Amino acid sequence: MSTPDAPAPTRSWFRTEDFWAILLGLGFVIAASLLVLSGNSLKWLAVMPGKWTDAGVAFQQLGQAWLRYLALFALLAIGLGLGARSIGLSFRRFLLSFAGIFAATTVIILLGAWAEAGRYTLEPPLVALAIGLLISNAVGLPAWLSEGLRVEYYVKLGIVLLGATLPLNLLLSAGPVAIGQAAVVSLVTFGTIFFVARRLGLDQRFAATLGAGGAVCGVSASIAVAGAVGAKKEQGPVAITIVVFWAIVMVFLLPLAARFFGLSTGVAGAWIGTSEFADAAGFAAAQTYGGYAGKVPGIAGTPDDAVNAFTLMKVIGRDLWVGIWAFVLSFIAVSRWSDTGVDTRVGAGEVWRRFPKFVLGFLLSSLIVAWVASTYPAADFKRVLDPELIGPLKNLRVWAFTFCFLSIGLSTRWRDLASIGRKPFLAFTAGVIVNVLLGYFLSVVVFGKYWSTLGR
Amino acid sequence: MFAWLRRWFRPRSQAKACARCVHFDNHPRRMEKDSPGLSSLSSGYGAVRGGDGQCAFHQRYVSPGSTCAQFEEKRKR
Repeated sequence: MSTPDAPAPTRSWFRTEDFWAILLGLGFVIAASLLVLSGNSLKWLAVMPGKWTDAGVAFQQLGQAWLRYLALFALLAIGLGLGARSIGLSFRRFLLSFAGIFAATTVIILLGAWAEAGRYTLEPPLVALAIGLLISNAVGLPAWLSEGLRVEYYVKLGIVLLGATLPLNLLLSAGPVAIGQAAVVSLVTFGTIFFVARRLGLDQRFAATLGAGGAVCGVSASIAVAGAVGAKKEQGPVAITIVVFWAIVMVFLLPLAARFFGLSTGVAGAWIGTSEFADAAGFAAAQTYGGYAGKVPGIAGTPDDAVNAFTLMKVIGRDLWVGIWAFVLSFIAVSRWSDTGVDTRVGAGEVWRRFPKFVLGFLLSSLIVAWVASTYPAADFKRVLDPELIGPLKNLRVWAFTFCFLSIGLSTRWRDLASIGRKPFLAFTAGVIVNVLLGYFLSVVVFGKYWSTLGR
Repeated sequence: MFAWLRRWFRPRSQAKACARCVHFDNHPRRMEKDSPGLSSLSSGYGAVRGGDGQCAFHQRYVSPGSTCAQFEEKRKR
């Protein structure tokens, strides 16, 4: 029974995507670890097509492994579906939709395994995104497919799984550098957008909502700060539309620009982590660029370097701090800005309330795998752990991220987005320009050597 | 001087917080519908939203713990 002064009821955290992404992701990591420790592996379930040059071979592969694909689908559909039901979505509609997403993802992953895919820039992340955008904007999306388009759910699951493949020592050694670089870029980007927005006559709350979108973690930060500062109802959708626009542009632009400059995968990953506005879109760009390693002449590094550097910069350097941004801006809004008639004061608990809790799953995954690795002699890492533990978890991560990339495209319908004014667009664009240039300077000139030799 | 600091630390009763108000709506599905693009690169169901919602009276985004003079308690079902 609640007392008159009991805290206001909010959504239980067990009914958030973060909780279910952690539960499923850690479930896979723990299961894979236990199997390896008992001399087995999750390899059978974590199916991934091998490279092919002839379409007949591709279909043959699919035919031989159909039971593995079916098992993976069943497990993911049930796990993700239960989570979807718990957060308030329809289990039945989610399953139906997820079946379509899984089938499309299988085709995209199979296409990505084509030996010539790199030559035609058919990198799975960009293909998934482009196909999704094309279907949703040109053809239209069948209503039954929409329930399963949970971009954040999939990207959070992918990030938790990513924790297992990102070495703990790398996290500890490179984390502070990422936080330092991201802090500089975040503060400058926020300052630029806020300053330009104010000069153009936008109110402080709107300027802060736009600024957070460019500086911290895109749409999530915009919506978090809109609530923390008490922005007007119509300002949130405008900020979201602008962030979505620039995030999609950057998915295609940043890998192209990094390729033009011949950046190594680690350096490009750091730049993308600094200058992309949303996690999901950023992973698409980083994974795409990682795919160039060893295929495009002049691009040094490994595919993992791009994703690892991006993760350090974006997740550890920027996402983690959204609660602090919301808390500080809320404090400033109440103390310095005009009264709105609503008392939006928040305590330090705000920092935890808004903490992107899936990051805890990411860190726990890294810890679990580090512990498993510590029980093996160093010589066995490449021979046993890489193929039996890390490899299968990496495959599952690729599936989760591809669901996400496809969902971004399928759920982004330009005509449904809010119409934006010239002034907020100009203010945000000023921040984009500063962010991209400063991000390049820090990632390439100042910390270039560090990011290009990440983990070595 | 420092009136804002006193205002910040003034205690508030959570009994009249937005989360219990009839004007407050933070249902994730409706938040996603009212904010097109939210589900494209984020979500109404994520922890980062912190249970924020929209106030139909003030036409603003508000936190569940915010308060105002126009509070009207939700009817218990």
